[in-house]
Amino acid sequence: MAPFRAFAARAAALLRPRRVERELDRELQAHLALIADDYVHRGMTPEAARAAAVRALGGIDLVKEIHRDHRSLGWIEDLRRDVPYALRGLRRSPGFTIAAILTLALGTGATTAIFGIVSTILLRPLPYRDSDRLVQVAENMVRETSAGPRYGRRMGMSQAEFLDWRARTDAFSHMAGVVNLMNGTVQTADGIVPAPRALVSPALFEMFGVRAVLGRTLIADDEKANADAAVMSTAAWQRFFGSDPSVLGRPVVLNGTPFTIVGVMPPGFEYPERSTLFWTALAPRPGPGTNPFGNVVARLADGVTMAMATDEANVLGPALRSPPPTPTVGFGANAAPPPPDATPTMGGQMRRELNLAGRPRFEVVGIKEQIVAPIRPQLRILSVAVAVVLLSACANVANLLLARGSARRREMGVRLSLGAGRGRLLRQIITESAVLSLAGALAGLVVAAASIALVKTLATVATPRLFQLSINLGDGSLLPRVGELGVDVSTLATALAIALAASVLFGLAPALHLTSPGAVAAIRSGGSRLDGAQPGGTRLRSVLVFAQVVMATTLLVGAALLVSTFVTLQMRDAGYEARNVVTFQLVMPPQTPEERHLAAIERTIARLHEDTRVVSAGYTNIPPFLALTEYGGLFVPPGMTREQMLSDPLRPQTRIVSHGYLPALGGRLLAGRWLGETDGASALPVCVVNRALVERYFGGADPIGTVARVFRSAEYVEDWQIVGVVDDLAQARLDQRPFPLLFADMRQTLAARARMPKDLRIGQGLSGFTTIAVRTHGPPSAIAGEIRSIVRSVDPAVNVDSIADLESLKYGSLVRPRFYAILVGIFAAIAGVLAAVGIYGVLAYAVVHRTQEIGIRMALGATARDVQADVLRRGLSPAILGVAVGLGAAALLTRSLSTMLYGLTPLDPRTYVGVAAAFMAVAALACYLPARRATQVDPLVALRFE
Amino acid sequence: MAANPRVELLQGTLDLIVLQALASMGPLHAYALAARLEAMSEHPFTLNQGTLYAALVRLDQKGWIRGTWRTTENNREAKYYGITRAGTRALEQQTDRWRRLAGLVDKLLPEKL
Repeated sequence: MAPFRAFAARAAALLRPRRVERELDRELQAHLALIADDYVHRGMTPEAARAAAVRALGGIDLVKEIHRDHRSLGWIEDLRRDVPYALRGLRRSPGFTIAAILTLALGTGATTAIFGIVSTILLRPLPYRDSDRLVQVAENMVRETSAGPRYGRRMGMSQAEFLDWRARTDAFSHMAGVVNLMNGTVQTADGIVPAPRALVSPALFEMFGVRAVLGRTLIADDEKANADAAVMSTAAWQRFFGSDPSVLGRPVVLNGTPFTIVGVMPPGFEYPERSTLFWTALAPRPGPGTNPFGNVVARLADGVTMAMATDEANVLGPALRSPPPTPTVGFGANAAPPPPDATPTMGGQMRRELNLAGRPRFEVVGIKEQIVAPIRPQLRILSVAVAVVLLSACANVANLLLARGSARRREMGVRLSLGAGRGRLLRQIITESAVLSLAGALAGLVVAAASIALVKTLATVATPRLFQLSINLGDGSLLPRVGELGVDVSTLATALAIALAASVLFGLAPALHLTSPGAVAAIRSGGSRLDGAQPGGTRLRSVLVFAQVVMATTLLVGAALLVSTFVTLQMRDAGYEARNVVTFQLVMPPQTPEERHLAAIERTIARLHEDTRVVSAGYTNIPPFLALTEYGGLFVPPGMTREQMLSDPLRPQTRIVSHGYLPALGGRLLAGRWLGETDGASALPVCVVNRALVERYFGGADPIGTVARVFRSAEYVEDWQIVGVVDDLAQARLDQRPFPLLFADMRQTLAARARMPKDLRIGQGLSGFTTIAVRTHGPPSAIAGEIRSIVRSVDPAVNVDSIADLESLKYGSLVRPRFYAILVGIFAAIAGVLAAVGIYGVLAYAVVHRTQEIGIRMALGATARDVQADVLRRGLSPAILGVAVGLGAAALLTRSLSTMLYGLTPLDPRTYVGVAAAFMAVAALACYLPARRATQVDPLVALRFE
Repeated sequence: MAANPRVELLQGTLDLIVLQALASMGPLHAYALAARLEAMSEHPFTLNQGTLYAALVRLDQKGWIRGTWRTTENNREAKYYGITRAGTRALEQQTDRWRRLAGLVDKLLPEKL
């Protein structure tokens, strides 16, 4: 009890120091008065008695000091004195203070930002009830690619599988299928408007623990054919119904089908996409041959672990799953996101093999894991880069402190010899470091806010909705959950924590060094020169500089690789002239008959051709920069069998076009001719193929005139003649290798379909997205504004969406490489500059420190050259060593970048040589300035330098 | 803390002596206490007043003594320290402990110095 009371009393005293102090003063005055009374009593004059009393008490201030020591918590009291002392010291050397705070602001700010991003994406739970219990069933597969087998995951289930699985599972308490309807539409007063919709099992809402803000969510009763309940997002409610609270029960026409509004979801509910506007019930049909779902999400039943659920999945899965279904159109949503270098073979193109590298065939994985897994390696790279910046910043500030500390060695030495405890001095120096780093952290908050804003800007892609598929994460951003990023209290806490850790990092070594026993020797040596234990300080500083150079070199190599990837991609020939081309999507009313669809396309193109600003225009079902896999029939070249082609993961895809499309893009004809006006419905079926197809299936030989078979099904086959070869056109992204393509005229495609037996026809005639590409004489912005009215005049029922100019789509497809090139580039540049400053600082200081020695040497006959060479050697040797070690480290570490590179390997020799040369040049400059100053030393002045 | 070594040796004993003085003499102010302590010992010793104040602070913080302002017989104001009930109990324990310790040390030391 007593120790606690004592602590409480001390803490209380701390809170009201003045009162305690006053009380003590009063007591001491009383004490003095009593003593003086005594002395007067013994015969002294009052004045003499008073003075004698003070002597007898042994010094009022000493008593007060002892009293203070005993009544307070010593270290806080120390802090109260150390902080103002530190502030005074920092104010006295503003150059040092500003340099240190700026350096720390960069380090803590960047680190705070990246840490905030990483923790938001990787650590924060998804905004659903018990979201760590939400899972998906994944099927591990091996996919054949031209670069060898790749492991992949497939998340989908067929509708029949879903029904059976749900009926049999014990491991899941809920299961919900989700089909993402990317080409969803809603009928408005303004006509048909694209409105992304998700078909979901009603169980999804209960499973996620989300409620409607108005009306209800979907309920189990809605899971039946012909159910007409629709739930909409708050965004849709505002946009289409003006937030009318009486909206419940109103009709809404989605993709031509009437539904009834039953509820409005809260603003934060963004599943499966941020852009999803409507949800309607998914009523799975039993029986074989049904299309795969986009996703199946499930909630683990109480007490069931991931491992138990995985075990169950490996019993249920193989029993239910027949050979993988082959969808004709594979969207990003029903396959695991492909690695950036993968060719777009999705869905059915995964082939099972027995050897899955020891993994089970089926695996139950958390949905958050599924969302963040693809981004984790990149986030790791950013974390390492920013850690290097922080460490470099700490090393620089440590160097500054050491240099400044040298000037204070005598102060420290004096205090040590006068009996100050080493701990006390350490605490004081660490206090200074902490004050510095807190100031750095506050300034760093600005840097952090700016960095987060920059990351959000760089990661958000201003690409029309349709093309966001190509960026691969669906909701318009490179980073998942980017909307959740921001600056808040936790950012502040992070910055402070980082600053505190940093202050220990950069403050401790100089503090230990300054208060080392050698410091006492420093004053004993008596002279005013800076010497004593100095060589040790220089060595420590050289080690710090060496470490900085190693880290900076490694980071610079990584950044150089990423930047040159981006530059290579930007200069890459896309195979067409992207300037002055605008593309837009025609949104057709649901169930539009083929003839009307075709007429709308043809008349739109005709109307555009009448315009004098238009060079040419054409239609395609899948425009450039849209990541969509569309085979549209199995192309079998002469000498190959259908089976061989089926097992070929790179088998050609088909693009349905009008004959003006390839010329409008500015494609280059390599051989033969373009498709023409005369290749109509009744003419002989012909096609144009790309260079990749010729190289893969004809060994580069001239294929013109060759007749290839195109299988529409196992039984139905047609002959198509190759009439032209076009140079490769960049497809979904510029960093993809071109894959084999064939282009067929839309009229012939529809005619071929019409010839097919009715029961073999699947899906629509003109599949994909109806897109028109227009080449104009000047910038396409002039005509872009009129496109809507042109199309309306052709067919009032048709709407326009995703107007985009091809050039910005082209650069939009580079956001990912740009994002990493810019971020890592910035970090590397900062680290490089910090390292150069470090080199300069050490040398500049060493030159000042050695002025006398240099003077003696010059007086004894050393030439300016000798002196210069000596200084350069001392400065450059840690730099050279650091660059060498840094290059070695880079060779080991940049392997993790390999999937992010294009056109060069992680060991690209030019990059290594370039970085080494550039960095050495900077280091040499940093050395040269102090070296030159050394040669300007006047021996006479130097010898007097006392 | 730098101040610690200076009082370490005296700490236990001085606190005990102060407690004992207050227990037997009743409330005293610091000056009277100091005079009392100096007179008490067989070989008069001068007590560092600062050290005495340190002991007073310690004892006050432990709740063993309490100070109150009163006037002296000469009509001066002074802070009088009196022992508390917890102080009395502590005094018993500390005295006991001190006796045992002293006995032990006595046994360990050689008889003739």
